[in-house]
Amino acid sequence: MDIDSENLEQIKVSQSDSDEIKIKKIYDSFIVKLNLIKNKQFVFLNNLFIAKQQADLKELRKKIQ
Amino acid sequence: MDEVLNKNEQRAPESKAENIVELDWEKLRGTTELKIDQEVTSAITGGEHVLDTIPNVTEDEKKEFVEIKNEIVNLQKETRNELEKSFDTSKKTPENFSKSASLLLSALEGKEESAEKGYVFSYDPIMEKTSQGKEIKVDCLSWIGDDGFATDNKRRLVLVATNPIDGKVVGLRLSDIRPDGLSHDEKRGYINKEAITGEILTRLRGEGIAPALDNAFLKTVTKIANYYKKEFGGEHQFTWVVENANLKRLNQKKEEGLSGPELEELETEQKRWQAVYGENGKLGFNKIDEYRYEKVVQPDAKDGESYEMQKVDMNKYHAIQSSLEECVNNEK
Repeated sequence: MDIDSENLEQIKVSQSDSDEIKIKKIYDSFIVKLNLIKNKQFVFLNNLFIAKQQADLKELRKKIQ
Repeated sequence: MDEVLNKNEQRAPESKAENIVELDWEKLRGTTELKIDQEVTSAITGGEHVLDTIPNVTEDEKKEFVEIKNEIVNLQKETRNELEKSFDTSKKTPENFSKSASLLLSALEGKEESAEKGYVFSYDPIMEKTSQGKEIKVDCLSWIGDDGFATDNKRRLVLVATNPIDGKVVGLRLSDIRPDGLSHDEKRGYINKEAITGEILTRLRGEGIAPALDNAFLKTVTKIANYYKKEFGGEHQFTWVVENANLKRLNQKKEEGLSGPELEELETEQKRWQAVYGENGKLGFNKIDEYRYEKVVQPDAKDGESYEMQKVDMNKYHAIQSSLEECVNNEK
């Protein structure tokens, strides 16, 4: 889904929305927020992975030397 | 026999159509919730899978990962609540609300001829804001109810709150103002007492509709008190009495040994009730006994202003009827 946090305002539920539109907007808004958290999770895991790899490399270098 | 068969044939498509509407709605709800759950599961298991491939993860790092996971779970809960609320607004009109709307609709049908003759009255609508910042439009209707005693006529006062955007009814206040005897005061002399009783019903809970609607009710009753003061002279005292039915239910459930979310919901509702109608609450009621609170509504008539209720415009009358029909049809 091609929506990001900038679109959150556009998919804000309005009282005048029909029932179906309301549900769709709630779902779309959920996806936007979930993507933001997934992105945060990815950054965290990626950084952790790199940090561990670098630590391993360091350890390996020590052993070789 | 033919007649029976014909009747059955005629009924079949109707009941099918009703089922289809229900099925579609349930289906939409089911698929949306399922999609949310699938997305959440995929995000969590995906993350866990990656984490498992990373060696030597410390406790602090695991903790940080769990915090992110909790954010996902909280988002899932919030979204489900939001969906639930949306379904509440659209489909799950509380039964007591629909019943009251239906009763009021019947009463208005019965009063239609009387309204055409000019015996049903109204003030201009009042706009109020709920604590959630949403506007409601409050229309009022009033007529003199004849209980068969010429000296004890009650005035029926009905307030209908609608969402001005979609026109849907969100709250009802059904009340009576009836003579409640005389009292004597050295300063004021004889005082005609008027008792106001009734009930308030809202379509949604926790949206701040009741205080906003009762604010409009208070303004309307003040206008009526002004009208009595100007029109009839003498002293009139309007005493509005409310009953804390929620506390009754809460106490009863406690006696029955109820606990858990249902009891917590009643307790939350009780706090909301006390904040509005309780002692030191928003509307300034005083406690009479365990379950009843009262407020004396004082007139604030200004010179040169008229407080007379106008005969209701029939377009307005029909618009109120239509909006009530939507509540009743929603129940089916």
